[in-house]
Amino acid sequence: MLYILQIFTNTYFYHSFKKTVMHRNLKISSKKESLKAIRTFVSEALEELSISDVESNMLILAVDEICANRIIHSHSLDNNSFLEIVIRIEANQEIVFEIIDSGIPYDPTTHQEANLIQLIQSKRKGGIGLTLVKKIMDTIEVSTINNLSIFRMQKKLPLAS
Amino acid sequence: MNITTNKSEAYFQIELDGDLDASSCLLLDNAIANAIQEGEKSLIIDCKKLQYISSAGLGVFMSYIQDFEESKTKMILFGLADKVYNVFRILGLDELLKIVDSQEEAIQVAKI
Amino acid sequence: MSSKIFFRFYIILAILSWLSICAIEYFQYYLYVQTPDLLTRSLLSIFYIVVFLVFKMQVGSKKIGNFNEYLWQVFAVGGSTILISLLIKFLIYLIPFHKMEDSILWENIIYHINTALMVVFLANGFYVWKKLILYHKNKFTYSAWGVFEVLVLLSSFTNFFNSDIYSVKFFIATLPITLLGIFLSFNLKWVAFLNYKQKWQSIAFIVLILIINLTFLQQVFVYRLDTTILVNMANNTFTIANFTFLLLNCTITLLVLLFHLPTSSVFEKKFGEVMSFQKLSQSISMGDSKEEVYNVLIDSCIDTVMADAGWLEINNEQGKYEAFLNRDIDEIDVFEIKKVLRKNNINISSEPHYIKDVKAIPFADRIQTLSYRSILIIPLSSNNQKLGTLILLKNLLDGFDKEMVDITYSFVSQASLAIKNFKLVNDAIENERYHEERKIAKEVQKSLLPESLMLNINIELHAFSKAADEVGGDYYDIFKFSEHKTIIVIGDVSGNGTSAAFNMAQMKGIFHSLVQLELSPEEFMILANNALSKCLEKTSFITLSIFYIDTLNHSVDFARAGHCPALLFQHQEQNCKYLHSKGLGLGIIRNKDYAKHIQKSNFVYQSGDLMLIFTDGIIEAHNPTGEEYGYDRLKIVLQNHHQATTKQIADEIIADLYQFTGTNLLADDYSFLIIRFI
Repeated sequence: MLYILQIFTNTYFYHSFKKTVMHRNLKISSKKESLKAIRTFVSEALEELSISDVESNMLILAVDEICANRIIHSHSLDNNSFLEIVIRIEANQEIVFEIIDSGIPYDPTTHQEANLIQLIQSKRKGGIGLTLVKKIMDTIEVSTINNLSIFRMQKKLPLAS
Repeated sequence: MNITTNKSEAYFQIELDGDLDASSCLLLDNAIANAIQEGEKSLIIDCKKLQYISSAGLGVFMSYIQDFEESKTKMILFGLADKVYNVFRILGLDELLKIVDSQEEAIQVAKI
Repeated sequence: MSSKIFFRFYIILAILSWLSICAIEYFQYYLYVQTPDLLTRSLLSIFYIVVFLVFKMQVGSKKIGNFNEYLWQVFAVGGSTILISLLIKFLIYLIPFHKMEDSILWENIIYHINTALMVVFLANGFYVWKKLILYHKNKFTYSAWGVFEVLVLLSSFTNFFNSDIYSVKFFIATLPITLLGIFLSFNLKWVAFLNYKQKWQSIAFIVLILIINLTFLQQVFVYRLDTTILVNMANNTFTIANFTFLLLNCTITLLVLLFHLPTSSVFEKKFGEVMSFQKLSQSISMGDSKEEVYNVLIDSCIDTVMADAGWLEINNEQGKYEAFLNRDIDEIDVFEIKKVLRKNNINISSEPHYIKDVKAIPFADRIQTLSYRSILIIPLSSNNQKLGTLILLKNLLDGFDKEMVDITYSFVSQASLAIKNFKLVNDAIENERYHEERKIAKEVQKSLLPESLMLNINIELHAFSKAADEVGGDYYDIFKFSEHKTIIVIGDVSGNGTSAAFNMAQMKGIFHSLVQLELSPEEFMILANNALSKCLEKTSFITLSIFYIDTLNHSVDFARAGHCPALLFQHQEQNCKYLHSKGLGLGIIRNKDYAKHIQKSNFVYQSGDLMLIFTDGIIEAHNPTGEEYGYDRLKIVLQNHHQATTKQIADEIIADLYQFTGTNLLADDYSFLIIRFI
């Protein structure tokens, strides 16, 4: 009983603190051809915010990078794998993206941020996508719920240029 | 993504039109590889119509930086939209690649 | 329906015969009623056969995909029969018996219950094993089984002889059945279809079945020594044959399973390959999209050869990318690997390559940080046409063995075929659509040219029109404004083919609307230019000549918008001349300035004069040496044949043209009208 009460109060406070002003989601087939549609979806959602072209492009880039990454690692023999992209804007001027799929979660904390010069000299350029995302977003986290891997990233608005 | 190439005496021009992402970056890689095979020493990349670039697109340029240094090949990008240029800047690639404003400037640099 | 009735009939018969045996014993023992031995034995035989028939029907109609479910059935029936028999034993143990006679009766009853349960167990086991043995049967095993089954059922009649099972006679009687049983027991094809886990399950089931089997056997033999038993069931070829058969089968299967265990993973892999292959074929025959075939190809290849990463490139005829699919490797690493391959002069699109050790090839330092150690490159091609390349990567040194390369090859060739077919089908559809479009355009064009040319009794007119392509851009039309006023128009729409036909349709619309108004020829042209400027695509234009023929005054007003000049033959003077006048084609200048570029001209005709109006196809027709037909040749033909009818003149012109070009295959559209003023 106490437990239920706890959950209830938690959700209540969560909602009172983090009021969502916008919520959009897109479910799309997990293949490379979907990337364009994903970018359009994010771009349309961001249109409602008064942010510059350059800023919205950075956010689109972050989502695109994660989705592209999920797509090349989510090969399965059934063609019906899907990606779900959720965009939320909280009342406290925070934008949250969630990329959800049924693949094996990747832990971004194991990713080593490499120095660009080193990258070029060592000819190891893999993972610059994630480096970009880390530079663009404020926080990144990965979780698994019901066999779904959720990649969540958050950024405070207004965006720093 | 549409890539058109144009060869003139002093330089080889590659025009990018559309989005340079994971699904289209190979086209650019192919175009640059072909130009090198032809023995081109000055490449100018027209980015006026480039709408978007992702890490896969940046990767194409990055993968040639060292090669071009060794083979004394010039690669100049021009006409980048602000939002596209910004992506190069996030990683500091603007320091490593030659990026100019206009085609005239690019040709000028190519001729040096 | 009838089989259901039989099934029920057999069950009832089995129960009745069993109850009868019990009853007979009761009568014999308590009431000392002598029953003929033959009756008991017949009842026993009937009971055996009927129970077997029941299970033959029950097991035979069952469809189970998994072999272990069959074994489970044997175990479940055996286990429950053993449980029932133990339970009854236990219950009887609880009830104290004082009278010896009662005890003997009960023991007999327990013995019979046990026998009945054992027969059920044996019958079930027998027919389940029949299914297993006859899995992937050939004709020989099938008939061997048939003989065996008949022999076993016949052996139930051996209880009439009541011989000792250790006697030579008994041994001889059972020998053929035993041998046949041993032979059949070695038909264990089903074992090969089990995977590793299922094999362990099978082993467990078979051990349990063996235990049950031995428990029953022990019971039967324990009672065999018991003299109080009235009808001995163990001294019976039927039961012994069945027990032996089940025991033999279980033992052999157990051994085979144990021997198969180490190799089963290899079999499983092979089976997986076959399944992947089937999936690929299925995806192709199901008419899935190209993209799905690509996906299935790369995924099944990676899964089957256990590659760590890979990519698939599909190119079109021009060598440009049509598709690029990467798995577990990002594009940037793909670029690096491709660069190293290029530096090593490895052409990935034309020849297969296998790089055993990536580190051993030149320029490998570029990709030293990547974990891949071996690379398999297989190009996709069909009829020598390059379609693309499949590249598989492994972190293992020399990670691809011959088998893997072979299976990848077969995947790739299968997929190549499908991709090629997709391309052919697409081409065919495109072609079909093109022809369909052409057909429609041709219909449109046909409907645009006037059907009847006899509009004015004061002129004799003949028209000829032939299109080089299915659809031409030549247009002519006639409109009768009033009794004495006829308007003739001839034009050439730039380009040919479908778009020309639609431009022509627009021109016809414009002509028919403007011609209603009382306009002069140059006003017509200015308004037509104005209208066309709005609807004609930027690169198109129309050349046009318009003639306002006044048969009352024998005068013709005309304007020429860039079109070929008309040829006039004056009968009286026997003079032939081209009517030149200034004029620019319609749709070239798309503003008011056009008015400066068009003018009206006029001539007066005599009765018998001829006018030839035509499109430039005739003038520009050339012979094999490249010489043009030209204005002069046309003029000469008209001069030479001016007395003939307009139809004959037309025939002469065509004949002369064909003679000049040396062919009647035309490179352009030809149209002309011959008008004789009367």
